Amino acid sequence: MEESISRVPAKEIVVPFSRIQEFCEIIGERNAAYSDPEAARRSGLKKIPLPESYLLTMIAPLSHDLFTTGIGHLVGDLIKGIIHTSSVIEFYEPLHCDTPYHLKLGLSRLARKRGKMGEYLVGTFPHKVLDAEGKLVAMDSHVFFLRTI
Amino acid sequence: MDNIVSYDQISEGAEIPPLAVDFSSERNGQYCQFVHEINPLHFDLEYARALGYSDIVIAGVFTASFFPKLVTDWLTNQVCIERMQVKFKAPAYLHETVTYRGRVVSKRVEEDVKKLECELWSENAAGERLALARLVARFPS
Repeated sequence: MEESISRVPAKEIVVPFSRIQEFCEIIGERNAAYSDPEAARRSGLKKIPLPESYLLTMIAPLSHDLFTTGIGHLVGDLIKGIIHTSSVIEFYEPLHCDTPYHLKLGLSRLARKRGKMGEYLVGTFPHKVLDAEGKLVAMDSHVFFLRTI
Repeated sequence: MDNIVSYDQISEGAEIPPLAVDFSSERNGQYCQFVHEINPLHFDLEYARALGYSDIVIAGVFTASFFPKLVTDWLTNQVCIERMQVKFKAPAYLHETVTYRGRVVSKRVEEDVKKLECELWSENAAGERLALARLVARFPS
C-alpha cells in the first residue's frame, strides 16, 4: 500500500478567484468576504480567503489520484469497494485565492478489520496542504474502508 | 452589523440556526462538473442501484462542505474554523433536502484566543442522522 501511495505525486495548486466564485454559487455562500476584493481589503486581507468549506473540495484531486494512479491497479482484484467513513480537518493558517499551495498525500495508518459486510483494509490518508515555503497550513485526514472480500 | 452574534452572547448549549440544503439534480450536477467527479456513484443511477443504493449518492466531501457554512452563516467571518471531524453514518441521496443542525458544547479561552466547540449533524426529512461533526471555531484576537 505504501508503495502505491508513493505513486501519487505532490500537486501544485493555485485556486483562482473565479473558481471560488463558482464554488460559492454552488453552495449558496453569500458572504462578501469571498466575493468582494474590496471587502477582503477592508478586513486587512491582501487576497480573497478560501472558505473553510472549500478545503474538502480543494484536496479532492489528490483523492482522485489515490484511487487512480495510486491504488487503481488494486481495485477489482484486491479492493472490491471504497467507503469514505470520516475525515478530520485541521487549519493552521488561513488559505487564500491566487496563492500557490502544494498538496501531498500520505498514509498514516493501515489496519485490517472484519465487519458484517466483509473484510476491509482501513486506511487513514492525510492530505496535506503546504504553502510555497513548505509550511503545513492545513490537513485533511480521510479514513477510507477498502473492502477486500 | 448589529445582528452579528458575539462570543460573549453565546452560551453553552446554544442552538445554531439550522441550514436546509436541497441536493437537487442541478446542484449535484454543478458540483460533479466542478470537481470532475470520477466516481459513478455520484452521477450514475444504475451504478448506484447495482451497489444497493436507492438513488445517486451525494459525495461525502460535498455534503460535509455545509458544516463549516452552518457555523459561518451564524457567526460570519469573524470566526475561523480551526478543526472539524466528520463521521458519515448514512448516505445523502439526490433530490433530498438535508438539514444541518448543531449546538455549542463548550466555550473556552486558550492562550487568549476565544474558542467554541460545536457538535453538528445533518439529517434527512425522516430525521435520520446522515453525518456527525465536531467543530472548533476560533475568534481571532
